[in-house]
Amino acid sequence: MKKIKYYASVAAALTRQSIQSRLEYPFMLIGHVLANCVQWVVGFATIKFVVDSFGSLGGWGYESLAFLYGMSVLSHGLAVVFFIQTWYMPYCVVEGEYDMFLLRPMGVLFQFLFEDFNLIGITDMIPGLMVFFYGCAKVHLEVNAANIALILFTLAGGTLIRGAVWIFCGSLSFWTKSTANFTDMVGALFERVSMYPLTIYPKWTQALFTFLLPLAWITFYPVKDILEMEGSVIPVPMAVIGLGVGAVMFALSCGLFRIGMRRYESAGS
Amino acid sequence: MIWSKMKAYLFVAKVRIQSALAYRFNVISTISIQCLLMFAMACFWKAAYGGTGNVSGVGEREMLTYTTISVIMGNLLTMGVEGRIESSVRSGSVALDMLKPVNIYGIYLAEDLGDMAVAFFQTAVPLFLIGSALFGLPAPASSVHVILFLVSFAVGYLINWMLAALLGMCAFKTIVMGPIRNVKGFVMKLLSGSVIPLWFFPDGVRVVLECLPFVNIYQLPLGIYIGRYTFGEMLLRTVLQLFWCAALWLIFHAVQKKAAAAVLIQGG
Repeated sequence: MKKIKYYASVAAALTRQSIQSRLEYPFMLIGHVLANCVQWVVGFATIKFVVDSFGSLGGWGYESLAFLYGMSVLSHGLAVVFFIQTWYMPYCVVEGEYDMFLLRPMGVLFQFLFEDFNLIGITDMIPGLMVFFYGCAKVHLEVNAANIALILFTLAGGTLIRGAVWIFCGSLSFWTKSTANFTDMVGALFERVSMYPLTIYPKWTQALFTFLLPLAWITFYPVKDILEMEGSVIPVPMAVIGLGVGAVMFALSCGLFRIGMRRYESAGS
Repeated sequence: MIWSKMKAYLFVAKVRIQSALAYRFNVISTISIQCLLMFAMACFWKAAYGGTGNVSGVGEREMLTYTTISVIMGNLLTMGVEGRIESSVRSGSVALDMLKPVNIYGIYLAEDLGDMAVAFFQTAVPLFLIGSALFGLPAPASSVHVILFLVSFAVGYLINWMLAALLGMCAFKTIVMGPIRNVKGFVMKLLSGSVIPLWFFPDGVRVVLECLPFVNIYQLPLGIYIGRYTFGEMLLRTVLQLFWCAALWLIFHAVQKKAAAAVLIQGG
């Protein structure tokens, strides 16, 4: 108990610090707000234009797509807020940046994750919320405790899955000792799987993203469930399964990070 | 005289090709990302068409071709010049670039052309083969269309390069670019028709966007390639494209003089 309290206080202090340091550059922050608004709002507009021309996409109407897109941008924003440091893991391994964390009497991954609470990630949330609320209105989502809970579960699960994949890819550099970065590849994958209905892909791709590399749980299955697009075979809400998948993946990634840390050998001279 | 200058630019392009060849992992990861993108976009269009014939005058087969070639073009149109100017201004090495007896923008263009030469063999050719194997040969409307496509692509390349250089020159004033470059990337991606052609957009939006320079970089060459335009229409659009190319050249020339005057060398 005392330990948890201690960790929480350190996390709070680090978070405060990084927020303060980000606020030192207000124009950078404004620039990111603009950049992200342009990215997501215009990105969504093009999907709308296509659906207007074609009628639907993989059996999904434009209203449901808006909701799916909003949910995806929100969990992307949350993942960027909490896990952006993981994009620099290969660099930290090669440059020996973990030395600093290893010298302190706390978990390395914990310190690393809270070292840089990324306020800029919140700028993703602004357009995310815009599209999300627009989508909610379009699908006439009933505002009740059950739906709110399902949405929160989905977001938590989606954020964990994204973070887990980033940590996993970053941890590989303990073995490869290279600064090779998978961020772009993973980003492209996330976008394609979580913003569009999985049903547009061939069956084998759907199976791949459901079981082997369960990215379909970031948004697709939980959202389908929330919108009650079809009667579910499983009695448990998909959002709960999504959160479970996220938790398991996150735990596995943390495990890989720990194993990798044993191979960490700092930087030469 | 001109030849000796050309030799300098060719040398810069050659160095660029050699350094790019040194990174094997980059090549593999670039090709994988682009394949992924190509596959996802192909699925997207297949799902959207879902067996229906023509939408906005274009069939599913043409749209698959459009997407495949667009992804390949994206690799050839990667512009290093914005980042190059920003980092030279920040580090102050722009002063050294300016001391050289050749035009610095000539050097930057030579570097980008060198990168394009590498990208052609390293990514464009493999992607063309993979794309053909997965989704069928992305065949052009006719051999005449291919020639017109290449001309249009070349002019589009210059427009794209000058836009990138103009943005890069902001760095002379602002020193740090921050997210401006991302904004340009998104705007470019969506307004140039590289992902979704503008003929699917509502008419009002489409007419405005077709007057902007962006559409001349991707959509015009691609539209020519798949035979979307009649010859009369092609001519009209090419005139507009050349107009933009000339206009940007004039702007580029004017801004370049101002930028040189604003150079600020940091530190010693």
